[in-house]
Amino acid sequence: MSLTTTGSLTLRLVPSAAVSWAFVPAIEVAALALVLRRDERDGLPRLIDLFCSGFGAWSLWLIAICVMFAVVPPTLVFQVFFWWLEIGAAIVLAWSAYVDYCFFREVVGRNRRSAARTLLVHRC
Amino acid sequence: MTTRAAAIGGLLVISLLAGTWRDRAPAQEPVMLGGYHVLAVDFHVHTHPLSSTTLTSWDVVTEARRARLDAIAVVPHDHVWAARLARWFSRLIDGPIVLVGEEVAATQCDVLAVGIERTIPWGQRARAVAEQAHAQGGIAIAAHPVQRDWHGCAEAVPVFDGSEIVHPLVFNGEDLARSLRDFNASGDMAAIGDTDYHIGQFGMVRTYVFARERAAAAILDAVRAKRTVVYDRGRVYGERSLIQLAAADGRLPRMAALTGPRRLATLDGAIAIVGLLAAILFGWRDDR
Repeated sequence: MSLTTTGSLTLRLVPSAAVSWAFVPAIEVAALALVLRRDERDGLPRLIDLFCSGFGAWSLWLIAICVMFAVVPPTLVFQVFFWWLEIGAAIVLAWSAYVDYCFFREVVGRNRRSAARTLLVHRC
Repeated sequence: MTTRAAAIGGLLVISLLAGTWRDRAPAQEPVMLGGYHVLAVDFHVHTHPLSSTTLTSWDVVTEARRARLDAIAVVPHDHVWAARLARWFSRLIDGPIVLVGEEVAATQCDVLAVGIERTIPWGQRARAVAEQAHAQGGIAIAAHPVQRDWHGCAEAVPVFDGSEIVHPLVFNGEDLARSLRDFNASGDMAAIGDTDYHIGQFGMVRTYVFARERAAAAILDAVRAKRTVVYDRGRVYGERSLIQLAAADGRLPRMAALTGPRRLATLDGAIAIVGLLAAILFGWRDDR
């Protein structure tokens, strides 16, 4: 938020944005805890840590927005931004879904069908 | 702490310190012209949450001050509580004037109801929304009335106090820019320039309002009396006599050039992006 508005990180905006947007990862983690079975919740902190490492795709998408507002002339930036908002987000949505599917399959140990169903429930 | 974490953390801390050091509200001389207080106002500012935007009610207040705006109208989508919160915070820190408002989704037209206190329900005809804004002592501005919105907005032209003649949409092409100009010319409406802030440079489009005093009520009165001037990359809109007055004085065109659209790139911002990319691509910990 700070980078897209001012082009810099500033203590005036960073803590406020961190707190006001904390609901996004909080909902992700709460949804993860909900979709895991009781016996799968052993070592939940490690699972959360691994699950959050799958946020890379979204983080790159967000950083690309920061770069966009820093370097693209303002008279063009909104055209690029709306393209990225739609096409870029669709790509990242698919990519992050695949990463999370692999998480449920490889880390949690679900079979294919169960991993897909859990992913769907988690996304809902 | 690993070497990698120290390096990434170091980049981010350096960037944060440099960005914070540079982040100061510039001093601004008040401008008086023709006996009026000339106030830089953005009538179209959204806040997080519930308006698909990035900054909170308190952040838009501090950002307005940094962007050399004298006043902002905070107009959340279809509610006013976030705007009232912004006004409360601004009074607390002696910040810029905050006008409470709402962007009302009317039928085929978005209306900025500014200077109101209570939520105006969405889904009504634009004229009804404008009349309800007036009943609360506020003003009604047609928001980004491009061709597709004309049908819904057109019927409210006689009761609109102003319409957005410059909006970031004008950067998307001459057709959209002409559309906004034609709509404004279709009635007796004040020329308004707004950023429609959701993301990006704050206050890059603004309205210079010629108010009798530095107060919210005076700003609303000035819009009703069409005492506004808007600059857009070499073009100027608004009340002709005020445009000439500002041109003769020279300060407003200079201020507009200083606060207009520009790239936001900074060295400390680039360092932050490198740090964030390193954290994502390589991880904080050596064991990943």
